Amino acid sequence: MSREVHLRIRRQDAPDSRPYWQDFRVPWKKGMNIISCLQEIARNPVDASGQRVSPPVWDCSCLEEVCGACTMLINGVPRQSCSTLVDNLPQGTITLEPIGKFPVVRDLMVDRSAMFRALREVRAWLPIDGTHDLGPGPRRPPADVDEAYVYSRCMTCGCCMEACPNYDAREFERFIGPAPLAQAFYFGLHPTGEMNADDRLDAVMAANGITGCGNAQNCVEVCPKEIPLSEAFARLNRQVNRKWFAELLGR
Amino acid sequence: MTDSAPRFAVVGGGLAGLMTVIKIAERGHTVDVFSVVPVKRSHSVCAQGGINAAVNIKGENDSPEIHFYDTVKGGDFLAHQPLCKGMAYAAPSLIYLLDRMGVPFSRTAEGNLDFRRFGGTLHHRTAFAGASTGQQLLYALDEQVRRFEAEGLVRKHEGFEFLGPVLAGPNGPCIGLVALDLRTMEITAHRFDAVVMATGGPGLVFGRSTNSMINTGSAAASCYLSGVRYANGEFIQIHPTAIPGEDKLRLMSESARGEGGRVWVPRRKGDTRDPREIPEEERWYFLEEKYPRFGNLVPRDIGAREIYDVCVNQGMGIGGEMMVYLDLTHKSREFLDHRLGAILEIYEKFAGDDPRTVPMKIFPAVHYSMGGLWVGYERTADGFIDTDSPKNHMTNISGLYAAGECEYQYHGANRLGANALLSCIYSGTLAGPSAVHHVAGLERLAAELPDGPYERERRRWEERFAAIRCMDGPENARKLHRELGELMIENMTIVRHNDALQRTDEKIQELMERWHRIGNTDPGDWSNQELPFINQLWNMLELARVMTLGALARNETRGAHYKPEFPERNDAEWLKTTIAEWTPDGPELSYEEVDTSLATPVARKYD
Amino acid sequence: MGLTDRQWFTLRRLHSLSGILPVGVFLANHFFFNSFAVSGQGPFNDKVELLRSLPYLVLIETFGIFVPIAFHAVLGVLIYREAKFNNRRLSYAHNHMFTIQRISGVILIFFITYHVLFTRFAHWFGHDTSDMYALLHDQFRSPWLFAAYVIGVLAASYHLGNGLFGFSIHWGLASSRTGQRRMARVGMAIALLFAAVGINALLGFEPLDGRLKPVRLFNLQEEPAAIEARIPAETAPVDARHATEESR
Repeated sequence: MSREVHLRIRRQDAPDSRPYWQDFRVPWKKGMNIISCLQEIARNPVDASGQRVSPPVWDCSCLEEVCGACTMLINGVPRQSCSTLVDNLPQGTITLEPIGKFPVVRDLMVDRSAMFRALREVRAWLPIDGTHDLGPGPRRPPADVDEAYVYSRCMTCGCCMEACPNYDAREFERFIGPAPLAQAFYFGLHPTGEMNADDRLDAVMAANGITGCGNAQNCVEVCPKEIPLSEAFARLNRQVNRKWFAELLGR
Repeated sequence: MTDSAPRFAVVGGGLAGLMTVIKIAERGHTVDVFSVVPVKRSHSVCAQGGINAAVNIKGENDSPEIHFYDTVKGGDFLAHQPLCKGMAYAAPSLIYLLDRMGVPFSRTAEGNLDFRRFGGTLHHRTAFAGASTGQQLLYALDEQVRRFEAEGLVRKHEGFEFLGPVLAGPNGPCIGLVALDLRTMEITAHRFDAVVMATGGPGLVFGRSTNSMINTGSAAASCYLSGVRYANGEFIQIHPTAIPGEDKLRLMSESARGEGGRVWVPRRKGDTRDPREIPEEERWYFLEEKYPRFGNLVPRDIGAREIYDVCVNQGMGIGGEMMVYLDLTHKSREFLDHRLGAILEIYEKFAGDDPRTVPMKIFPAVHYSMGGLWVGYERTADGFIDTDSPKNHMTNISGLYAAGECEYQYHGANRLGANALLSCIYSGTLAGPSAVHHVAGLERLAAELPDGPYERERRRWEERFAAIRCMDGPENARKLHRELGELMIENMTIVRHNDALQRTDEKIQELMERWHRIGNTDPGDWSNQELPFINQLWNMLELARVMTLGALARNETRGAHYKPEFPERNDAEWLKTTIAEWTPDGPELSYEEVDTSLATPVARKYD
Repeated sequence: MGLTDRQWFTLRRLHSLSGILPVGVFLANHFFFNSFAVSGQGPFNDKVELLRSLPYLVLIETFGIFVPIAFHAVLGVLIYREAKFNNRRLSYAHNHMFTIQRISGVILIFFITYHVLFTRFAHWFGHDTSDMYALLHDQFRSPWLFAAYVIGVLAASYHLGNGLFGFSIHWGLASSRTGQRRMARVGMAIALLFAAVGINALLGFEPLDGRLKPVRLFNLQEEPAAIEARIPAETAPVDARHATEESR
């Protein structure tokens, strides 16, 4: 008999309906990832007991770990299902669940709009004067750009948000989460962003801002892009503390 | 509705769409963006290598004029030249704009933007942010759009699928669109004075490609079905270097060769040794041998064709398969991590080997569509673009625009590497203002129009989806899609034969028959992914016919379109744009002259 | 809660600060002074008397110790409630440290309340507080109470040590990943030191009816038993101090 991959998928038909588990078996193929398992199920939506079921719903787009769409809990750990190869997981049943810090839309698909809202709140952009031709931007030391580049690769996948014990999208007013904070830091690394630091730092100092970080550092552990988030937080702390002192005592 | 402000819709949130949004919002108008995914997840993130601009930072006497010439020559002279010229001349200022938006472009020691080499040019002309340039560019535009969103000028409709335009009459103008809420499955018609399509390429027509899962080409196809002309559909770029995969074929950027990567196969047929054990003199660097001047950096159509020749015609591929080595192991680890880290990680994660020490195994894969929705432009006497014209990037339907990969301009018969990001952004800078100019000339705004056409279209789409929901035949849509992909890859990629193309078209029509016998696997009415997919599949089938019949008709070899039966370019008969128009009996082809007034077509040589 | 963003920020920063200053400093002081128990009943009670005779004692106790600890505890409870522990799924060292930090904090609230009531305010419950050494020695006859104290000492040591790590990030002192790792190790080392000193101080009260004894390292003076033997039982602790000094 040919080898099979056994998947156990937590399903949920709608945001307020009760979750349930379904088991699936798909033929094993060399180099297959979680996405190809799910694609195989969609081509043949039959569960392990032979029952016809509706194919599980999940989010994905680029399949090369750069769009951030396909985050799910794979054996309990938040990761991208595209870059999770079946052969790299321990033998046995693979469990797939939606990440839990965001409201479930259906099955493995969740609503991560809170992350984009958070990016708005921390004013994650550079306020340029316009898109007309204003000549070259500021010269930047290569080392500074290299440092910024690391943070620019955040794909808003939500792994860090999921892993953070202090974050929950449903309690937005408590903590906006690691990813948006790291982005707030990222913009401060650009000369134009530095000029406009106050706008962002105000958001970082808000009640749901950086003080919500409890240093569990799970964000760093699970980030698929290995972004040094905790470093951003420490340096962001330095910046907000300076601002706080300046406000308390004057410059 | 008594809303007197003009209303703009941009469909698609990739580079072209977001640049369009920014250009409209910057003029103080509100814009609605419709996107199937949060715009930050658009396919532009997948672009890796960089973006071209003749800034001449390396003192190589590069200039926009040379960039323009390389572009039209790279496209085998099939592109309309004024837009290419406009793009090449605008490129440096666009790079500066992106730099000001905060894109972390890699730098020289002096703090200037660094540029790397890419295919089809001898100059260092490609600005880059590590090896994830598309991601950084998209994020920069996304950030600016978010800023306008915070100001209330941009409304995002993420998780909405464009189903089709709303036209006032059979030939337009476009007065709105119909969209499907992918969560609630509700279908709604929206009033707009101008609609800009920026919906990307149709890679999924080929099943597995380097494209994202959202690149079905369905939105563009739907416009085609509504009467928009589809141009040069037969020109599909095959990227020479991709990583094989069960679910998709991941791109291995041209920048790997731009930074010194060498393509080779063992000189001895059937050599099964580990590539690291094959000595230098037993490696065949076939591109360097045949193209001493451009070497590994020949344009993609040529690269892909040479790999095909070596592997298929000469049987020299690794393990007898369509596969060659792409070797970076002679470069230092530090250099590679710094310049190419992101793509090497992708290879490492998905293929399991470390490309810093083991040569990569790569093969050609469908990557980009040069063809797309037909859009016009207005040129000035000196060959530039009249940027005040409402005609730029307008399709043949008034008020309906297209920008980015979903339209056909800029790349002719073959696109040069790192020109895609540029053309997407440049087309956005034209389409946005153009739409604004168009709306300024309207007598009545969509808000004042009667309900009739909107209601009609909405109902039509509701009925179609209701019918799809009830489909209970034996066929599985995903399996049909896979069959379509295999068929297209087999016959519509690097080498094309007329008899095979004929058969392909017949097979596509068979698939269209079988489409009607699909069984819908998901009866749910919430966040149902099957219904839109079944609808998209039909659109993909329609597009597949456009591509195949365009290829069948074009009896010559030009750029990415290679027919061994007609191995030469034939300017006398075929220096013209293929135009497909939808009829109930299939696409009807006609042809249009190409504006080659700025650079005379010559034989295209890279050796 | 009716607080502005800045007020909340200030409270959170004061929370971070108060854990080190004054609470951490007090803890160091407290563990050190209680280590006199290692030297025996006399020296210990002697130090208790010294502390009781401090000028501004009530002010120091109220604003230097009670208010900061109470503030740290109240805000700590709010912080505790923010956390949704996920250690089983995400078994990373820092995640465990995060969870233990919060649990130790809660333990400390209960422990400190008990500890303060039955030492500082033991007279409310009719205990004789003139000989604190004896009071604790008696309490530690119960293995349960002694165990509770050990847990309290461990919790306080860990909470402070790991709190130093958090402090170093909240105040932007340790920014790089390596720096933070280093700081975490320093924090754990300090926790271990505090735990060792604290538990040894507990052992100084010869718990479980004297079945456990403290470790006496680097003691230049004689064994307490020898000192006690030379001092008449009724001598006040003050004389005991003189006696020790004379014996040098």
